[in-house]
Amino acid sequence: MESMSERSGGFSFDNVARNHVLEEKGMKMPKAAKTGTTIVGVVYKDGVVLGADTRATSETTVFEKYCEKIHYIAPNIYCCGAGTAADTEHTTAMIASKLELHRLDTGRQSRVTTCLTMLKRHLFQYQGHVSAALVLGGVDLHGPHLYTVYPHGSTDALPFVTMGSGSLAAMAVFESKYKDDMTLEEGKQIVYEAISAGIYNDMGSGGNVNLCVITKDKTEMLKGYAKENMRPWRKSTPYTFPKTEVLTSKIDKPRTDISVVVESEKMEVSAS
Amino acid sequence: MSGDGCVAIASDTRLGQQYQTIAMDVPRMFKMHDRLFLGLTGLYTDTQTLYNLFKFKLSMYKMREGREISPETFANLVSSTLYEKRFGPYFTEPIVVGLDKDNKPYLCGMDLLGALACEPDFVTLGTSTEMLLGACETFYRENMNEDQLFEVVSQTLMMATDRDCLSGWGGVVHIISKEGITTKTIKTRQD
Amino acid sequence: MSMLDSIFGFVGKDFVICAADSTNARSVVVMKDDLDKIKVLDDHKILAMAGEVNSIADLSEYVQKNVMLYSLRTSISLSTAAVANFMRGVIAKAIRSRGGAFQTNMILAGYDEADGPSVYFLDYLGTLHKLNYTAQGLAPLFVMSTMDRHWKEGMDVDEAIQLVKMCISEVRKRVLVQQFKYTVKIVDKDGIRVLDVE
Repeated sequence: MESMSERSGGFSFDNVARNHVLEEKGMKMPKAAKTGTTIVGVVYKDGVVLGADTRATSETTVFEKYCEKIHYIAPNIYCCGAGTAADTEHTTAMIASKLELHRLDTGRQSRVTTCLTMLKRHLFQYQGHVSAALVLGGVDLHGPHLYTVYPHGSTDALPFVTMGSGSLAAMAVFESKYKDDMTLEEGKQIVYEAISAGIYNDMGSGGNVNLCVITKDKTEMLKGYAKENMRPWRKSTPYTFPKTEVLTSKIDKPRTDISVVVESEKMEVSAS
Repeated sequence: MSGDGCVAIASDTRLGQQYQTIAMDVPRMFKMHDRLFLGLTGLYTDTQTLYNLFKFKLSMYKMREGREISPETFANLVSSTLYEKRFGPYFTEPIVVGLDKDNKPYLCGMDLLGALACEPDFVTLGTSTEMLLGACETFYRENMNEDQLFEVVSQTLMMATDRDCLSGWGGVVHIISKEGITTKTIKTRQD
Repeated sequence: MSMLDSIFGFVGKDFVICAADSTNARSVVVMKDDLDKIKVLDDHKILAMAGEVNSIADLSEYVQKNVMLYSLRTSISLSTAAVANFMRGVIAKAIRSRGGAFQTNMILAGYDEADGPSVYFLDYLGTLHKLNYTAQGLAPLFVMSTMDRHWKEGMDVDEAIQLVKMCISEVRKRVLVQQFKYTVKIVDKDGIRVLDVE
């Protein structure tokens, strides 16, 4: 059963030839979920504020209404992801694991540039086929850092960044309102306005506004900072249905685990 | 769909080759253990391959860890297995449904590449996913008990498959709660 | 893959019966009209195959030899379900390989002491399903509805032969490609027999 053996890791290209043949025959591949998205980041006086909307789409249907786009990388580093949902999730998870191992090796807090280099090398290796556009922000011993990483592996270091389909709307807000050395409240407000601009003007973005504030001492995730697009009304009484016709019905009780208790003699460990 | 201390998973049972129906009793939801189900939509050969693969992986997990896998861990396992084939994916979209150790429902759906979508209320996938989403949005209520959950889920399935030529011809609903798994086959339109 | 074959099979009271046309045609030329498309896997299993001739030969020989090897090694012969699942694995693996898929759709039919008669639908992608009656190739378009109507549980051999004749005449009437001769095989507890249904 060698096909069933557990693999050592990395991508497997087994199905590529078969999928080509299937598509030629007219089999339509199901569409991957993309995060249409508006993701932004801004540097303020004491740190970094990251923001994201919460909609994941599969073509024009909303695949997930409250999707988490601000991914944990390290206690002091978070990353927002736009592009193919599977790519952003797995790439950020992999880099987070690598950084954890690196922290255990070095015994020091992770640096944002380390994370940046790992991400850009991974994405460049796959020449843009791993479709992940990321906004990476964090605070380390050198102060607050904010970078964007494009799917092909290029990066930018800027005081305010936006990515995703709603990036133009959000950038418009930033360009008009950004100033250096903002306070925390001003920082949160500008990010909230930028994400809202994306939510209300871009079809691929929607849902709530999630924020993440990273400072030297701590990180605060503000999930649902603004919940302006919740479902307004739900019928208060339940719907009554005609009884569903059931053809067969069976119930499986859960198996109870049996524990075996064995009386055994203790091992002789003393040297006498 | 989730309820109060219980969770339900339902699917139709048609196997077709485009418009030609081959069989009407095809299982798409597989019990992985007493509190965990995996549903797989899409190309049936990939459904079978993946089911065999996950059965194998769970047996290995049980041998190594000496306990059953939790739903979140299993969802991550499914996600990684699908993502491994990112450049030549399996043509299936899975749903993982289960109860965690505190009997809280866990549900998540994934696209064919393994992007997790964990929702607290309901997840729908398949050829009639949009129709199912519409019906679920309307009929879902929080904290339903097992009987209410069964009614809502079976009616939603029947309503959505009414409007989809490629699904239908029978339906099966599994409801998982701490007392056990109730499996009911429902009578649907046979067209 | 042009599938100009018609094969179908179904389960009876304590036997299975499989029929396949005997024409081998390529485009407008009939190459051979007495080709046996129902391969014998062992004493109680037959495999009816539709599709490309090279894939048919390749896959059927591979499965035949492996089934024989297993019974020589362990002196137990495999059940129909085991062979069906083994084949599914082989086909699903082949479709992902560089060598390419086996371009053939099949019906596996067998009789086991323990489980009785069974018929399996198996397609070139590796979709496997156990059914009471099924068809592959051109036949499903015409024959599935006939079987839906006339197949019933626990048919005896005469009723089965009637049903086979009905299906064959249906295909002959409606299919553009001439399919004059048919091979019909039946498997029961005594083994495999070829039936003359004309």
